[in-house]
Amino acid sequence: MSKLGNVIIDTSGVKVNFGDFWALKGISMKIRKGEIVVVLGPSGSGKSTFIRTLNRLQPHSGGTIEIDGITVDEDTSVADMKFLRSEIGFVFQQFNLFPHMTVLENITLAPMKVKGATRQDAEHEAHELLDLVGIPEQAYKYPSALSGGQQQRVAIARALAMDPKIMLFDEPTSALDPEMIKEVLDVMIDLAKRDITMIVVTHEMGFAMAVADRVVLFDEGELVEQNTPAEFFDNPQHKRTKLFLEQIL
Amino acid sequence: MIEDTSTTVGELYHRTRHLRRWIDSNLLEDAPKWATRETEVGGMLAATIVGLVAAWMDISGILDPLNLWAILHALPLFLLAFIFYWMVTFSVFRGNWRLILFILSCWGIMGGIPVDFQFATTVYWLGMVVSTYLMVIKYRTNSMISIAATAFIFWFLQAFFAFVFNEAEWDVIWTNRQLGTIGPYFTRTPEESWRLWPAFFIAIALGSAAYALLQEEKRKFLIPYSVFSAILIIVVNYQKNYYSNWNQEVLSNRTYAADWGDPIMLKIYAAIILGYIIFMFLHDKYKDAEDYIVNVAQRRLMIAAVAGFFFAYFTLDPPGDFGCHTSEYAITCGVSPEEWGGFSLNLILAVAGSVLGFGVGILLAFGRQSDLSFFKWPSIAVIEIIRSGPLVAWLFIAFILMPDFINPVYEADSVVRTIIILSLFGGCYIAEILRGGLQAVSSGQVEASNALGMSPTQTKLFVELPSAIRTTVPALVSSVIGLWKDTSLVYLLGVHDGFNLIRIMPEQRDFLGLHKEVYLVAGFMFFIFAYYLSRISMRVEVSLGLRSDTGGEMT
Repeated sequence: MSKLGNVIIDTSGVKVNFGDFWALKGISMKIRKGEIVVVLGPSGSGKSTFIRTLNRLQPHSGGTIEIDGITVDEDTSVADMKFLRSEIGFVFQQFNLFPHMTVLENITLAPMKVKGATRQDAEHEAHELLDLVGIPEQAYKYPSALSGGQQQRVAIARALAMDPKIMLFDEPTSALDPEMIKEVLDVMIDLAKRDITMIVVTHEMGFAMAVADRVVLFDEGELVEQNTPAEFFDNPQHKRTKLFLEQIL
Repeated sequence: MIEDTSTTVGELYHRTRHLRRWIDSNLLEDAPKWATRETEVGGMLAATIVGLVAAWMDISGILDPLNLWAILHALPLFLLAFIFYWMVTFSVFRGNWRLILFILSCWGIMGGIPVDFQFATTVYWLGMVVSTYLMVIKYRTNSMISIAATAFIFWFLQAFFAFVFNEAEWDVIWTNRQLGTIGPYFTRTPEESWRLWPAFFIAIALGSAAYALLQEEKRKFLIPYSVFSAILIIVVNYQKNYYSNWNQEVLSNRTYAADWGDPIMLKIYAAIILGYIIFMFLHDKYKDAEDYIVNVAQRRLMIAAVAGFFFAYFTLDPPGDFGCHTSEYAITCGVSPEEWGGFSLNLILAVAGSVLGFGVGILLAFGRQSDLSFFKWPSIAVIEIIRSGPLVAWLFIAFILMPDFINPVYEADSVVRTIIILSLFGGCYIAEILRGGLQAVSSGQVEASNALGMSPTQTKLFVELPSAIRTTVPALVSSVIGLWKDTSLVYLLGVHDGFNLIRIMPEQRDFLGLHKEVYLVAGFMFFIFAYYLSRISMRVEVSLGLRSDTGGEMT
C-alpha cells in the first residue's frame, strides 16, 4: 500500500466503562494517513464507542489516544481539542442535522464560527460540496423537507466543510431505507478515492470489500481480528470471525 | 333510595315513560330528505339571528303594537319563525294531523302571548329547544348539548347587546379616550405630544412589514387593516356633545379641536397609508421568496423592531440635554417615563418587559444548567426567589427598596424600575420554559456541533438555543401574554397606566359610578392584544414548521 503515509491515529489499550460494564477492554490500533478502515462487529461490541473516543465525544477511562501528534485526554487544551475536532469529520447514524437551519446554513455554520471563514467563501464551498454529494438543488431547503438519504449526504457535506484529514462514519446507512443506502455509499466511495483517512463503522460488506484497506472485527469490547478485506472475508483466522461472517453473509 | 338529583331525574324519566312512548310512536321513522344536519344547523342559526333581531327590536322600542312601521319590520321575523316551526313539525311527526295541528297551535299561542318580551323570548326558546330536540332525537346524537349551547349564547348575547347598545353611557369612554390612550401628561400638554408620533409610525410600519413577510394572501392583511384604520379614524374623529350633570352645560366629548383635515387626522392618514405602502411593497417582493430569504428578512425586521423601540424611547425621553426645547411654560428636555400613561404605557411596559425578560431568561436558563458553580447557584437563587414572590410584592420592592441601591448608579424613575421588575419577573418564567426547551434538544445535535469543533458557548448559542426557542414558542407567548396583563398591576405604584386611568374614570364628576362601562372597555383592550398575540404565535408555529402539513419533522 504505497499511498499510505505516516501513522496518524495511534491508540493503545483504550478502555471505556459505563459503570461496571466495560464497553472497550483495551483497543490498540495504528492507522496510517489515507488508510480506509472498516470496523465490523455485532451490536454492543463497542465499535461505535471506539470511534467516538477518537474525537472525545466519549471520554475514555484508560489507555492513550494520539491523533496527529496530539494526545487526546482530559488534559488536552481547549485550543488543541478545537483543532482536532475540526480535523476530524464525524457522520452520525441519525444524521443530527440542525433542524432550525437550511441545508446551506447547516454546512456553513462551523466553517464560519470555528475557522472564521467569510460567509461568501463558506457558501461558495458549501455549494461545491453539495455538488460533490449530488444534491446542489437542495441548498435552501430545511432538513425536514429532505429524504433520509439526502439528509445523510448533507451531513457528510457538513463534515467535509471543515476540510478534515480524518472522517469517522458511525453506521451512516443503518437508519436509511434500502434504496437510499446506495446514494450514500456512492458518496463515500467517491470520498475513499481522495487522500483522506476514513474509519467506517458499518454493516455494508460490499462497501468493505470494494474500498477498505483494512477490515477490523470488534466483539465484546475487544479487537478480534484485523486484516485486508480479501484475507478477512476469504480466510478468516479466528473462530469468532468465522461465526460472524456465517451469520451475515 | 339514594337522595340526590340523579334519583329525581331518574324518577322523572320513569314517570314520563308513557308520554315519551306516545311521542315516540308518533315520530316519523325516517326523516324526510330535507331534514338533514344542514337544515338543523341552519335552523339553529336562523333561531339565533331571529333572537338577536328580536332582542334588538325589544331594546330599541321598535316593537310597539301601535306602531305600524314596527310591525312591518317585524313581519319577516315572524315569517321566519313560522317557517321554522312548520319545518320542524313536519320533519318530526308522522301524519297524525290532530297532533300536528295541536303542536302548531301551541306555538301560535306561545308566539302570541302579549306580555313582557323577555318572557315571550324564553317561551319562544323553550319551544325551539323542545322542537329541535324532537327533530334530532331521530339521529340519535347528543345534539342537546349544541342546542343548550346555542340557547346560552343567545341568552348571553341578548343581555350583552342590551347593555352595550341600550343601558351603557359611553360618554365616559368617548370623553376620556385620549386620556386612556396616552395618559394625563400628553393630554394636558399637547405641545409635547409630537414625541408620540414616531412611536405610532414605527408601530404601524413594523406591524405591516411583519404581516407582509408571512407570505399570505393580501386580503388576510388588507381587510383587517382597513377595518382597523376605519375604526381608528372614527374613534379619533368622533364628536358627540353630552349634557353635563355637574355644571349643567352641554360639553363636547373631545378635548382637542379636530376636523377631517386636522393635523392630527392628517398624521393618522399618513401612518395608515404608510402601512399600506410598506405592506404592498414587501408583499410583492417576498410573495414567492424562498424560506431562507424570508427568514433573513424576518431577522432584520426583528433587529429593526428593537432599534425602533429604542428610537421611540429616546424621542420620548432623550438622554442628557439632547433635544431640549422651550415650551410655553418651561424648557423641556423630553418627557420622563413617569409622565407616560394610558394603554400606550402598558404596551411599552409589556414590550420592554418581554424583550429584556427574554434576555434575562436566556441568561438564567443557561446559568441554571451551567457547570460553573458561581454562575449556576446565583441563577437558581434568582429564579427560585423571584418566582416564589407575588408580582405585587416585587412591585412594592421596586417602589420602596429599589431606589436605595439603584439610584446611586442611575436615577431610575418608577416606570423604569417597573420595567426592571417586570423583566426580572418575566425572565424567571421564561428561563424555566427555555430550560425545558434546552433539555428537549436532542443530544445528537449537541454532539454534532461538538464534533464540528464548535465551543460549548457556540453550541449553546447557535444550536441549542434556537432549537429550544423553536419548540417552546407556545409557552413563551403564554408568558408574554401573562406579562401583558400583569402590566396593569403597576397602578399600585401610582403610574398612570391604562388600567389605572380606567379605574379612576368613574370618579369624574360627570361620570360618577359608571364602573361597568369602563371595566368592559379595559377588558376589551387587554383581550384584543392578548388575542392577537396568540394568533401571531400560531402563525409563528406554522412558519417554523411545527404545524407542518408535510409530515413530521426530523430530529
